[in-house]
Order: sequence, then C-alpha cells, then structure tokens
Amino acid sequence: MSKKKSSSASEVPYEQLIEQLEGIVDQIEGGELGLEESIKGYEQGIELVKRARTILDRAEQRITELNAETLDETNE
Amino acid sequence: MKGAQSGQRAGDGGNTPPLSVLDDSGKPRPLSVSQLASSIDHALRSGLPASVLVEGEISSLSHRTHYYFSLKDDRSVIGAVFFASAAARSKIKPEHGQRVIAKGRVEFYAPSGRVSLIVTSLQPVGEGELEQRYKQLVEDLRAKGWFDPEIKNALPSFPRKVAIVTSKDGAAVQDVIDTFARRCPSIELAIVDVRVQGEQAKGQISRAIRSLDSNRDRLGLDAVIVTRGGGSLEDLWAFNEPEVAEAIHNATLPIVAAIGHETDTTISELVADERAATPTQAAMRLSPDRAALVEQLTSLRNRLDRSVGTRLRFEHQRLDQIRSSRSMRDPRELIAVYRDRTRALHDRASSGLRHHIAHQRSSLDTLAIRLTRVQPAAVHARRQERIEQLAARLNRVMSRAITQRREELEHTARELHAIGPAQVLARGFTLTLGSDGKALRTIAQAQPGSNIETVLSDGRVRSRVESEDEGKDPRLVPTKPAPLRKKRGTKRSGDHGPGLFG
Repeated sequence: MSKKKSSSASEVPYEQLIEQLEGIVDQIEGGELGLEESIKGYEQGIELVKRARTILDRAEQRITELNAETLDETNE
Repeated sequence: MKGAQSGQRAGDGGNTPPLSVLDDSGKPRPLSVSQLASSIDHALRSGLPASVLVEGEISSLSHRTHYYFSLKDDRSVIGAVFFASAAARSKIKPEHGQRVIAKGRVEFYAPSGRVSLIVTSLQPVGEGELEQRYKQLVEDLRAKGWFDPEIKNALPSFPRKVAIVTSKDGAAVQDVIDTFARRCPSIELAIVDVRVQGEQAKGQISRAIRSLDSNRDRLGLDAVIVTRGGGSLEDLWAFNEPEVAEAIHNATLPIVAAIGHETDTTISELVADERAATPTQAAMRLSPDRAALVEQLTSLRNRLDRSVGTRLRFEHQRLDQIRSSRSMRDPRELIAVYRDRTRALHDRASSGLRHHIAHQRSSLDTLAIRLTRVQPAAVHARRQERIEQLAARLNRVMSRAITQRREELEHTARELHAIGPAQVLARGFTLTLGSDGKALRTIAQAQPGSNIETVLSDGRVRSRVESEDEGKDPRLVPTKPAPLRKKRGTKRSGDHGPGLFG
C-alpha cells in the first residue's frame, strides 16, 4: 500500500504530460526545431503519449480512508 | 391544565350522543379511562396535522435530561417537551421568557393525562439568531475579500488524488465515489471521516482541512472535496462557522464544497475555490471525462505523427532538389560560379587600378611638361639641338667637298693611265733593261757583251749586246699632239718619271 502511494505521489501529473506533449507538437509543427531535434522531440512525444495512456488506462479505483486526526490510513 | 379541562367542558354542551361501548344486550356501557385516553389520542392525531408550528413564550422551564416547559400566550398555555435528541441538533436552547416558534406534534400522554407539544425544533421569533449570524459573517468575509474570484485556486483538470472530507456514513460520500468510478477510476480517493453536524463538527472539519493541506505533498493530494447532504440550517451550521471558513480560506489545495441542497449556500461554499450544487457535481468538477481525454491524447498523437512526417517529407524534397541541382551533377559548375565571381572581382579591381595608374601618369606627364619648361635642362637640350644641326650641316659640306676631290682624282688617274708605259708598249715601243734590271736610257749603259732584257707588250726578250751606235732614230720624232702630251708628261715625268716603272 505504501509502495503504491509513493508511486502515485511521484508520478508526473497527467496535465503536465499533456502540456509537455502539446509543447513538443507545437514546436515541431512550427518548424522551430532542426531535423535531429524534431526526431528527438518525436521520440519524447511518443514516450509522453505512452505515460499518459498508462494513467488513463488504470482501471481499478483506489480508495483509502484517513483518520481525521492523524491522517493515517485506517483499516476497515 | 385548566384550559384543557374547560375545553372539554365546552364539548359537553353538544347534541352528539356520549361516546360509549355497547354490551351484549345492546345497552351502553361506560368506557374505561384507558379507552377514553386512547380515544383522545386518536382524536388528536386525526384532527390535527402531524406537525404544527406554534408561537408562544417559554415559561415553567425545567431541564433534566430533556427540556420541559410551557408555551403560553396571553390567554392559553400548553405543555411542551423538547427531548434531548432534538435539542442537541438545535442551534438555540430554550430559555425562560423567550419568544419562540416551536415546531412539533401534539400528543396526549396517557400516564399523566396531559396533552403536550413534542417539540422537534425551536426558532427564535422574528429573524432567527442563526440567520442574523449568517448574514453578519457573510458581510464580514465579503469585506475581507474572502469570496473574491481572484483569490480562488484553479482546479486541476486531472488530479492524481482527491481527499473527501465528509461523514463516511452519509449519502454524499457514496455519490462522490460512484462519480469518480464512472468517469475516471484512475483518480485515487482518500476519505476523511468527520462529523458534519453537531458540536464537534466544526473542529473536526477545520482540523481535517488544515492537516490535509499541510500534508498535501506527503499524501500526493491535488484537491479536496468538502461535502455533506441536505439538512436544515441548523444541520448545516458547522459549514457556516468562521473556523471552517478560515481553514478553507487558508488552504493552498484547491477545495470544492458541496453542502446541503442546491438552495442552501453555506459560508464554506462561498469561501471554497469552487461551489458545487451536489456531491456528484463536486466529483464531476474534479474528474475529467476519460473518453474526452482519450480523444485528446489520440489527436495529439496524430498531430505528432503528422508534424514529423511533414518535416521528413520536406527534408527529402530539399535533399532531392539539391541532389538534382546543376552544381551537384557537375561540380565544375559550382567552381565556374566562383570562378566567374572571382574574375568579375579581379576585373573590377584591375580596371580600378588601371584607372588609378592612368590618372597618376597623366598628372605626372603634366608635371613633367611643366618641369621641362622651367628647368635648365631644357635650355641645354635646345643648345644641344643647335649643335647637332650645325654638325649635320658641316658633315654635308665636308662630304660634298670630299666627293668632288675624289671625282677629280679619278679623272686624273684615268688620264695618267692613258699615258702610262703599258699603253706605250702596246703601241709598239719597248723598254730595255740592263743586267742590273734598270732601264737603259743611254747607250753608255749597254756595253757590248752584256746581257740585256727587252720588255715588249706581251713578254720579254733576252739578248747579248754586240755593238752600239750613237744618233737618234727619226721614227721617234714626236707628232703634232705630242706637245700637249709632252707638256703634261714633262711636267709629270719631271716629278714621277723614274718612279713609273721602278
């Protein structure tokens, strides 16, 4: 449980992934980048798509209950 | 009690038969007290609505576990009970002499034979105290700017984890969970169970919000939902407490509040970053529609593919163009371009230089001409020229004189030749030489017995002298033209005669 929690906390927020992805696409479309940079950007973009897709495809709902005083998880 | 009795008496005057039961023979029999009590209870229930609002003044107040008091106006009085369970939910406690509107039902309590109002809630008469407090607080917080849109935190469009501050026994929490499950199950939820009404509620709610906010990073939280289902103003009151409002105001985490029904607006909702009408809507504000996100992601992915594809095609075309250009087909073309350019530059440079030199030279010539006019060398040259002219004249004169002399000399030579010994011999004269080789001029030189040599025009004859005779030969007397020749010849023979043969 604690492992799951830390992984979700360190995960880059979905919005940030999308923002980065949009930035890369804008740059390539705008022709601001050289060819090598464009290809590098493309690879980064594909990686971002993969990560965003992983977040979207996570199916199980995680619900924890926190003690109002200590904010520790309470086991029901 | 007195009033109730007089009321009953007033009913006796009617014409309706007395309430009774019939025995087996059909004769009326009196009711038992319990039967009467039951009938009174029945009559009250059927004759009055289940809930009545009564305005009156509180008197004869006693408080043990429950509150017992009388409600009275200037003519009547009725007993009232405010049970502890109901009183706990009430914002106001009964006070002696207080004018209130009591809400409740009318009951006949058989063990004591009393009719009482069972109070479920109490409100002060006129504008309620709670309303007053609510309005005052709204004014204060509005003046502080706590409701200003500019200070609101933006909600994340895709939070990773959302905390829900509510009672885990209420209906609200389930609505929130279901909404997240339906729209975006990947968002993690953390439920913080708190009292949402009663004395402890404000403390628990505000503490929960404060500690969630200060632990947001540890918990990985991106937003908080504060929610509660519908209820009376009293029920919802904790969410109007300044303590809760302050906790929400101070939080850096975005907070969505959905308290009570849509028509209720609590102060917590006004201070929160976003107000939602219901718990479900609160959850929707924080849960993106997965389908829409999938569509957005797919569209971005397509744009990414297209952008790089377009770029690659463009680069290919550019490469093809370069490859098929003249200079790539034949590098000499490329060189030619540079050579032409170099030549053009060279031409420009040298014509410039020539022009410059010509200009310099012409000014130099001008200077030289001016210089020759003013310098002694010019004078010298003019003198030199004069000398040369004179020398030439001298030469001409001299050569003419020489030529003249030479012609005279040649003429003389021709004359001399005409009178020379060879011509003499050719005419038949001879020359006789002695043995010593000298010409014989006198016979004395020719001794008999000596050898002599006679020179003729075509050769020589050697002979021996036998004798000699004196006297001149007549044939040797000169003819007429002879004096001229003689004159000349004499003249000459005098100078050169002996040297002519010798």
